[in-house]
Amino acid sequence: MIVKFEREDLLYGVSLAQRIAPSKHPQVAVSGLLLKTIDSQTVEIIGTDLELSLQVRIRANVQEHGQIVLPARFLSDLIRRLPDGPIYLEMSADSFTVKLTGSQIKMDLRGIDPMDFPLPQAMPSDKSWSVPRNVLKQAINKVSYAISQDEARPVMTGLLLKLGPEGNRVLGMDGFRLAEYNLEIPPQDDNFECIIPNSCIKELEKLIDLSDTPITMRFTPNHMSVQIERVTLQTRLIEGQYPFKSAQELMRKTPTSHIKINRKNLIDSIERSLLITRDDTRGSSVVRMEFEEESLIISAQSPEVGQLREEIPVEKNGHDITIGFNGRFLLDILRNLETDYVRFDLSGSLAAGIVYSLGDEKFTGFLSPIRLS
Amino acid sequence: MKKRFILHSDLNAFYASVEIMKQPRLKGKPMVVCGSADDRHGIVLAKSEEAKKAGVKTGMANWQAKKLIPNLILLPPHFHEYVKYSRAVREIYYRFSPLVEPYGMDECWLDVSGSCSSFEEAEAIANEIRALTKKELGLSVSIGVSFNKIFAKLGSDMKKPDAVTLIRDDDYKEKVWPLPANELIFVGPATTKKLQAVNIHTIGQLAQTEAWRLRRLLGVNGLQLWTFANGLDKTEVKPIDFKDEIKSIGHGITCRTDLLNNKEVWRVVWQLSQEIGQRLRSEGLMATGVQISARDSSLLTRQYQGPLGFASQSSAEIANLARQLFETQYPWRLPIRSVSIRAINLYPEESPLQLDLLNDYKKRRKQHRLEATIDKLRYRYGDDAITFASLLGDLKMPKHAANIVLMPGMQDDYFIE
Repeated sequence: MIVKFEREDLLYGVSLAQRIAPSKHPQVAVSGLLLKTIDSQTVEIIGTDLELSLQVRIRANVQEHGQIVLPARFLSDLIRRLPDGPIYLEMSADSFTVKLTGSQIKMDLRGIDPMDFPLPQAMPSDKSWSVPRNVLKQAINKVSYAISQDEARPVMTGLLLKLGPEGNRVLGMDGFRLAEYNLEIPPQDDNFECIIPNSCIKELEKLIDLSDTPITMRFTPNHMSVQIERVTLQTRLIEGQYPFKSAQELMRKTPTSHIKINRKNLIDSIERSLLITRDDTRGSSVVRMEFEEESLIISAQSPEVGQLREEIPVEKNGHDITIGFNGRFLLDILRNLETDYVRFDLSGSLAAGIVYSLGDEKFTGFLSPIRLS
Repeated sequence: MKKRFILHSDLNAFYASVEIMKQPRLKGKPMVVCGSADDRHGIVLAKSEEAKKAGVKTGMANWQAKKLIPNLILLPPHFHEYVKYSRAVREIYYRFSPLVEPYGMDECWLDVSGSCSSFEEAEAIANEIRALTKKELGLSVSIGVSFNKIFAKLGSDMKKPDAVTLIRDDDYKEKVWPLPANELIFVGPATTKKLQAVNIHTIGQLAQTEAWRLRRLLGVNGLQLWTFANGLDKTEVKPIDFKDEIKSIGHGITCRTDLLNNKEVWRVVWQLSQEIGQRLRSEGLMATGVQISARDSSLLTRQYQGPLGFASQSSAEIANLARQLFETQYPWRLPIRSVSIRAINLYPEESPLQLDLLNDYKKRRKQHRLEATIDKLRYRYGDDAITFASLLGDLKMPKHAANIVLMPGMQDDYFIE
C-alpha cells in the first residue's frame, strides 16, 4: 500500500473514526482504525466498537492498493500534531509496519494485521426510510436527553423509532422521565419499530446538519445503517421489547390541573432554586412547586445557604397542587423546547406530570414526581 | 473555644467479664466466648485476661485456641445479656453527662465539660464511674481523660484493666507522641505501611510531619490523622438522643446442612429478607440496593450486589433482587453453606423519594402496607403466627433467628447464631 494524503483530509477522517474506537480493547485490532484503499482517489477509514461502526471516505492519491490497521488514539494524536502538507503512508508487503513521511518527519509505525479487524457486516437492505435531516435532528434533540444510561435495563438505553400509518415518532425514557416527539412527515404505510443505541444517536446528532436534504436509514432486523455524505454509520439495534409504545399509554388518570407557564421564567426560577440546594448531600435536586390560583410558588432552603421563595404568574385550571420534581430533569425538558409557553398537566402529587410545549404539539414529556418529605 | 473534658470509657474484656460475673467459678481461669463448632461457627469472639496472656486472639478458630491452652473453657455467647449490660453501663454514664456517644457495644465517649473546670475534676469523675460500674455491675472499665475524643480513646488503652489515664493539653507530647502511629484511631495496617515507608513510626513523628506531605501521601485522611496527632480534633461527643446513621441492615445464617440448588437458596433468601424488611420498617429506613453473600462448602465467600432502582423497605422486593443477583451469577460448583443478605444505601423513609414511571408507586405502597401488617401480626401473636406457604417445611436453617454481629473493631461479618 502506498498512499499520499493531504493532512487535513487524513485528520478529518481519522478524528471521526477515532471517536468510535475504544481506547483499550482486548481484541487489539478493535482499538485501531482500518485504512483501506477503494480506488485511485479514495481511502476508507473505519472505526468500530463492535456495536457501532463509522466508515468515512477521504480523498487520497493511491499509488498502490492495500489495507492496514493503525492504533486509533495514537494516529489521531500524531496527525493533529503534524504540520500542514502531504503525508505519505507506505506499507511494506511482508510486515505490518508502515512508513509515515511528512514534511519534516519520517517514522516507522507498527500496525496490526487487517485480517484481525472486525468489519461491519454487509447490509442487505430489508427496509429503508428517508427523512429530511432537520426533521430528524430536531426530533432527536427533543428526546435524546431522556435516554437511559442504566445498562441494567438495556431496552431503555436506546431511542425508540416507531413508524406507521398512525404517525412517526421517536421516544426516549429512563424510567423517571419520558420524552416523545412526533415527526412532521407523512405517515408510513407499514408499521415499523426499532431501538437505536444511544451511542449511535449521539453520533447522528453530531453528524447531521439542519438542512432539509433527506437522509436514508436502512434496516435489517438487527442492524441499521445511515449514510451522510462521505460517512456511513452502522449500528447493531437493541433487542427486546420497549416498555411503551407511546406516551399516551402512561396516562393512568385524567389530569386534574392544567397550568400554563412562561418557559424562560420557569427555567430561571428552577436554576436559582437548585443553586440554593446544590451542596446539600441529600435531595439536592428537589424543587418544590406549589401551584395556586394564579401563581406558582417555588421554594428552596438549605441549612447552610439560606432560603428562597419565588412567585411566578401562571394560568391555572383545576385544583391547587403541591408537587416535587427533580429540577435537573425538569430543566432538561424545558431547555430543549423552543416555545414561549409550556403547559403542565398534573393529576396529583404522586402521579407523573405531563409537559406540553404550547405551540409545538409534537412534543410530550412525562416526569415522575419526587415524593416530598 | 472553651476547654473540653472528654472521657473515653472501655469495658475490659466485655463478653468474657459478663460471663464470669454470671458464673463466678470461672474467675481466674482461661476462658473464651466462641461460636459453637457443632453449628459450624467455631471462632473466638472474646477472651478472658488469662486466655489473652496465653496468646489467644479474637477471630481465632476454637481448635487453635484449644491448642494453646488445653484446659481452655469454651462458652457460647449470650448476646442479649451483653446488650443488657451495655445499656446498664450507659445508664451509669448518663448520670454524669447527657453527652454519651457509644462506639460499639463496649466503648463510649462522654463529654463532661459542663460539670468540671479542670483535668483534676474530670479525673475524679472518671474514678467515680470506674468505682460505680464495679460496684453496681461488677464490670471493670479503663478510662482515658483528655481534651479531645482521639486522645481520650488512646488514654483508655494505655492502662488496663480498671484504670484511669489522664492526657492533658500540657503533657500530651510526652504521653502520646512516643506511641506507635498505629495506636491512633483509623490507622490500619495499610496506612501503617505507607507511613513506615516514609519513616513515620510514632504519633509524634506523624504530628511533626508537614500536613501537606500527609495529604499527598494519604489524601484527605492524611490531614485528618495530622489533626488527630496534634490534638486538634474538634469532633463533638454526640448527645444522648443521637442515633448513629445505620449504613446497612444485614441478616445471615449458616445452614445446618449445605444448600444444594437455587430453590433451597431462594427459601433461605426469602426467610432472611423477611427480617430485613421488618428491621427497615422498624428503623424507618429505605434501601436502594441489595447485597447477597454466599459462602460455599470450601468456605469461599462470594458477594454480589446491585441497585434496586428505587427506594424500598419491602422484603419481597429485596428478596427478588437478591435472588436475581445470586441465580444469575453463582456458578454452582459447590453447595452453599451460609447466606447473608444486606440492605444497603439506606435513606430515612421520610426523605424525598424519586418515583418512577414504570413501577406504579401506589401498587408498591400496597405491598409495603401488606408487609407492615404482617409485622404487626407477628409482633402481637408471635413470629410463627403468620408466614408464607412457600416457607413451610425444612429450610435447613437453625432454629433460632440468625444475626450478623459486627464485632467491635472488626470489619468482617461473622455468621453467628
